[in-house]
Amino acid sequence: MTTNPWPGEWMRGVLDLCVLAVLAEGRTYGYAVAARLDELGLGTIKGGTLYPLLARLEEAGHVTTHWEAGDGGPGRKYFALTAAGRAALAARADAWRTFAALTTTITSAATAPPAVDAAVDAAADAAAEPATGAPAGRPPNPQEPR
Amino acid sequence: MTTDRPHTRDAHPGSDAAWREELVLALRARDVDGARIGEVLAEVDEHCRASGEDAAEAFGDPAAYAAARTVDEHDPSDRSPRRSPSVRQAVAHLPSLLGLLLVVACAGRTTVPVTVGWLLAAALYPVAATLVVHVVLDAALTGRSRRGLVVAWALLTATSVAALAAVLLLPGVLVTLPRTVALVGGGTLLVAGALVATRSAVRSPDADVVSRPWDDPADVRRRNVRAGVLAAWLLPAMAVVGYAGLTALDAALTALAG
Repeated sequence: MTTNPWPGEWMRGVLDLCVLAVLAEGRTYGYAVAARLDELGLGTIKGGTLYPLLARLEEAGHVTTHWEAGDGGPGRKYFALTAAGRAALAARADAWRTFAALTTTITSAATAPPAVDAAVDAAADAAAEPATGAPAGRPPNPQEPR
Repeated sequence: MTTDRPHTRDAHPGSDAAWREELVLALRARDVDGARIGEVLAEVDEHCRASGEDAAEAFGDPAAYAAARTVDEHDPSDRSPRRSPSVRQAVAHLPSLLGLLLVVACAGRTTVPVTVGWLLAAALYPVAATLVVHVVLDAALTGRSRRGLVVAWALLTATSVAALAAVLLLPGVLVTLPRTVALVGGGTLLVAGALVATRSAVRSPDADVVSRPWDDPADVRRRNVRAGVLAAWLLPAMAVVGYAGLTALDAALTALAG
């Protein structure tokens, strides 16, 4: 079984968004969500983490649930994304992409060799411009040569 | 496409059964209703069956998991009373308990002396029973079920010692009842209490059994009524067993002495 390759605090910030993204592929059940996240490279998500998160999404109206008779078992709970869930996914995914681009810019500027600084600047400007609700421009970098 | 892992475990192996019991107790302690508990259990069963993991491996500590499942539902500032029994509810059973003691006291006797200590001892038990339930539920909230049971046993032992002391130290007789009067009086208290509780259980069931999401609501109601009726007749059943046991013991001792 895959172990979790990412720090816990990163996972806490992004897991609900990734679960919404998996549910956007179609209605599915709890273990299948965990297996899909594992398959996508997020690592093993335990039931103790996943089901409380799914319950919170249900409470927020982002998913609906219903039980179906299982094969040889008593039943299976299916989760499906609602319109509100789809809207939340779109909004948060957009914000996350902006945030990820910003973090990439900040960390790249601090770690990249000087030759690629210009390319990084261009990427940062491109990432910051279309962002909705994101900070305008990139933050000043005290280590950057002027 | 995701496929379930092959089943590597039974549906409820020993350790998993204990894990589930702790989860149910911890959820009960958080005032989660039976239907919701059943749904959480069904999710656990389904996940374990699909993943091949056991419950502890997949869901961690049962008390912590119960807390995670109720964190958004349980406002810490909420001071509304919990469904766990109050002292007032326990004291409502006092007449039935007196009936039980009267009936049991009749075994092997021609008269029943009712003393101050005897009445005090009878009143101690409902209070102790309420405390025990609270201790067990509070222990389940923090995942210390075993410690809760130890404290509960200590409480019951202390109550029994206090009751015995009350009977021995307060021997003043309030009234001496003939055996028939005590038996009929005790039986009446017991049956009346059981009938009132049965009527209440049938009209608006107080019991809240754990039910699965796919259970028929009519069947769940029937089970709640059945649980309520069984609870209503528990004290009369104890009185019959206690009376029969003590009478048989008395007869055996008399035969041995003779």
